[in-house]
Amino acid sequence: MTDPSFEQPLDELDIALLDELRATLEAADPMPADLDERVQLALTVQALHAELAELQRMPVDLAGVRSHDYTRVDTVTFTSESMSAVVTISRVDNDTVRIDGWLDGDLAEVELRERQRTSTAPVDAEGRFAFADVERGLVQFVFRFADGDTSPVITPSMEV
Amino acid sequence: MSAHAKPNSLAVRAGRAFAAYRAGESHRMAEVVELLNPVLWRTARSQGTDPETAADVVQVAWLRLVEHADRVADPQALLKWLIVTVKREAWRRTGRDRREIPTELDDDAPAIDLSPDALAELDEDQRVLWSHVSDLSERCRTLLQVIAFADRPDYASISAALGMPVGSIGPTRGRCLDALRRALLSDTSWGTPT
Repeated sequence: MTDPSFEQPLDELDIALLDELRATLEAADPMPADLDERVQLALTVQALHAELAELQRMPVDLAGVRSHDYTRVDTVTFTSESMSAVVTISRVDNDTVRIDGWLDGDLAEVELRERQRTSTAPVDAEGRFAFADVERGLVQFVFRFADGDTSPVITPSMEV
Repeated sequence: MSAHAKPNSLAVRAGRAFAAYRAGESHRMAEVVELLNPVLWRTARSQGTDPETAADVVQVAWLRLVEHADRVADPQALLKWLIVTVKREAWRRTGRDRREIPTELDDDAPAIDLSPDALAELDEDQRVLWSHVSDLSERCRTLLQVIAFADRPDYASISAALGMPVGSIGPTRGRCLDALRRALLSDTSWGTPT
């Protein structure tokens, strides 16, 4: 099925142009340095056979409305078929953030996976949870349901 | 497809590592990810996603792969499956799939705008090259930037994964590079690479 012209070698100028295009894009629009790591982290959690939630970032100006002027707050939402979550990330200092979340769904606990450690927080009756002291870097959430039968929901890993 | 795959292609190397992963060598997945992420990142960015969305889209494609590993019957088809998944997810996230017939690339989607900061990273020839790439049809722009991150034996299956009909791959590839060459060679501000 392959067109025979594809078997012809490209000439040197073709090769040079493609090489230069690659160098151009690597300089001007590089892949995030931690993308391999982010994918690895996500795949590790995927071994739980969990449902994958979709991540959506809220525009910063909307997210900042309720925060103090000097505190940068990022808000993201996670949505899956069985639950949804709104999570805010506020800067504590240069190395630390605080994560507050609100869940819709019958969830019992939230697991937060960081590079070096994993911690869990209970979900209260109003669906709230918090991690007060989170090292900045890559994190990923695992949401576990109150009934043990529903598979957990995981999120893509993200930078906080 | 696998009958045409050449030994040194990205698709073959990644396919081999993926087959080993599926056979139980779980550490080989890291190798698959490292091999293919640059092409997948480029695919996502060429489909109009911003950098953060592009990174999410690439992650989602990998998660879907592991979720449906048994559906990718032929490890050699892995690269193609991932490119198609990234493209569809990128379209879903940018709303392009709500437009008519989302099976083909069209020619009116916006080019990636490199920011002034990004352009400052480039030398003069690279800026000239990029401006001519930006003037190409979306089809050509996408094809050239994605294959620039792959090996030559991968071009045919990448073209197919990006929605270029198999029968027109050769001419399409020829047309895209031809158009770029002609534009650059007639531009006196561009120095031929040595």
